[in-house]
Amino acid sequence: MIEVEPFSRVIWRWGVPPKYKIALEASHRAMSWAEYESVVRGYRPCDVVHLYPETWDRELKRFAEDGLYFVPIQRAKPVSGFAHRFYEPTGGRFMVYGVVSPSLSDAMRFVRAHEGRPCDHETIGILLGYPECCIRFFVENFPKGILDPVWRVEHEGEDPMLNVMLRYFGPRIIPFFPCSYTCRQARRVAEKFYGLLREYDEDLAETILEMLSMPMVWSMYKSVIQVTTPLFTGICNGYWEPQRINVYWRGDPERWAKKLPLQYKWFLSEIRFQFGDNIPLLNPP
Amino acid sequence: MMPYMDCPLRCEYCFEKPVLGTRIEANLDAMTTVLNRIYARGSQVSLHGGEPLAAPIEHVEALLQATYRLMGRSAVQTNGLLITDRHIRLFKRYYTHVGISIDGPPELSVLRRFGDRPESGREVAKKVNENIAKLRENGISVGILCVLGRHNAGDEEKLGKLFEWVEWLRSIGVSSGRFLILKACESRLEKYALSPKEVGEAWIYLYRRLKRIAWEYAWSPFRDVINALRGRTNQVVCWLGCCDPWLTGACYPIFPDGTTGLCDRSFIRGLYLRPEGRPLEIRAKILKETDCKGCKWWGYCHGGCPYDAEDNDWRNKSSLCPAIKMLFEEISQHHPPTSKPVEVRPGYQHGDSPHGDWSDHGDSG
Repeated sequence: MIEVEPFSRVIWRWGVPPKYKIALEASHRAMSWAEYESVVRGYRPCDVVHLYPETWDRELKRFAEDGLYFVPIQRAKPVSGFAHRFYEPTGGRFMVYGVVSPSLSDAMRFVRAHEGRPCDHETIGILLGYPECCIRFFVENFPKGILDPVWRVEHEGEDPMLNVMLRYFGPRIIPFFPCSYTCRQARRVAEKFYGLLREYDEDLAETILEMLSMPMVWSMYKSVIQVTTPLFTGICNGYWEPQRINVYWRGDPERWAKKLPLQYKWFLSEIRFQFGDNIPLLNPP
Repeated sequence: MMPYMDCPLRCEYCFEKPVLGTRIEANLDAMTTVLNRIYARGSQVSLHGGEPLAAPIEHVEALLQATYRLMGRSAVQTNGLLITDRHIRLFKRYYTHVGISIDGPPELSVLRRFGDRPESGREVAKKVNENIAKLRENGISVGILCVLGRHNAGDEEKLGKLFEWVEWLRSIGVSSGRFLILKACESRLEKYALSPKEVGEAWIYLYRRLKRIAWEYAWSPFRDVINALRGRTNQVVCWLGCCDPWLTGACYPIFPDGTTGLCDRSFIRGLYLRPEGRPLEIRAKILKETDCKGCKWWGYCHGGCPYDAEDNDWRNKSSLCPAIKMLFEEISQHHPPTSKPVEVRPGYQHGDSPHGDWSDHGDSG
């Protein structure tokens, strides 16, 4: 059993149009804005925020201007890349993880839920505005050590708005794990976030959604996640599972084969090489 | 530098097949700008492909000249088929070392062939061997890249013929070579690949015979294993050195448009652009704790090439592990380790000699 420290890296294929790289880089900030804005507009009670010493004066002022309470919860080590959990700060450097809400009592409920032992994920999920079925899914998995239950999500069909396989690198519409990749309740929440993203930048929102519709393979093995797509391969830290786990996202292959034929051909060659000839992406029903 | 991303041959086992034929317009200015930048960091440079000599000869000359201006020499890795007298004049002018990819004499080198004529391997190999001789007659430095598979190393008779050819290479003044291992990138190629045990046996056979004529240090992987055991970690082939497959430190291809990529072995995945940053030690970390835990050769081998990995998953150790162990056991009898094993190598930097053979071989990929 090994633990790999947080890291993430995106390796682009040759010849990919720049708009995708721009979208990937902008997606973290855009989604972070949408999540915060959803609380300001009263779509949900709370949002979680990470404050860094370099910017917390500006951030705290922004919260005050927006009529939000901020309650700190814990200090954690700032990491580059994607963290599935909090790490103890070392060497004096830390960030502060906390909650913002227009209601002090909601913010405090969030803090108490977080500090409870065991942690009250159900209350946290409700305060973050997540669908009940998806909260239940999370509660059934995460506390058992399944830190990244992407592979446990019911996968009978696919809705790109609910695709959470690229979130380590930026692109995502929802900030939670859906219970199913076709969950209607999750879709309703996703539409709100997507609306906000469009408000932030219409082209960016559409490009993010387009990227989430790519065929892709999510693969976790030896605590390292690899996501292979027609545009890029992303790698980052995962968590330990005894076997390699692969999730095949069918996406919209015709669209991508037409849009970027060369890169799509390479994608097929690559997944055939690494995952074999018998995977669902290479054998449509 | 890869001025041309196609090749007139379609060798049966070529791992570059997915990218061969990719149309990328050559931008020599952009290529030489990147060349200058990389060279400033201490790199060794050679022309590679695809097939670099299939590029317009003006492009070949411009790039050999640019390399020569920087280094006082140049290098090319070629299939050896297209070499003309004009190329030979350029090689003399720019002090070019020529690395030739060939798998033995015509009766053995049968998988390097034209795509539309599977039977053309012998004819290709005959021409290439003639060109090797011609290069040597002209005093040009030549190295060999030979891929071992069932076609040329599948039994002792073939190995015997292969070694006779190696002796011929020595007799005409070829300076060095590398024995690579045929990788079955597709399942239909498995019939050509040696099993790991057969690879080990072939390596040991060749090592023992080379040792008898005191030429083992001229050939990879033997010299690399010797160097690893002696602690000369910057003179060890890249696949013994904790390679980060997503930011290959030993190999820094410059594509025709001046963009840069990953080691050509990654071309089986298509063309990737080189990301920013430094190589990560993730693969070394996970192998040390899993597949390679407790292995006495870890500090010399570091899991082997990620593109030879078991199940074609770079998060696994090399599928050639049993062969690598056999080779270390064999060579360490003659060259006992004189240095402490290196737990996690920092990864290659430019200026290291990833294949330990640039000056007399020329293949950077």
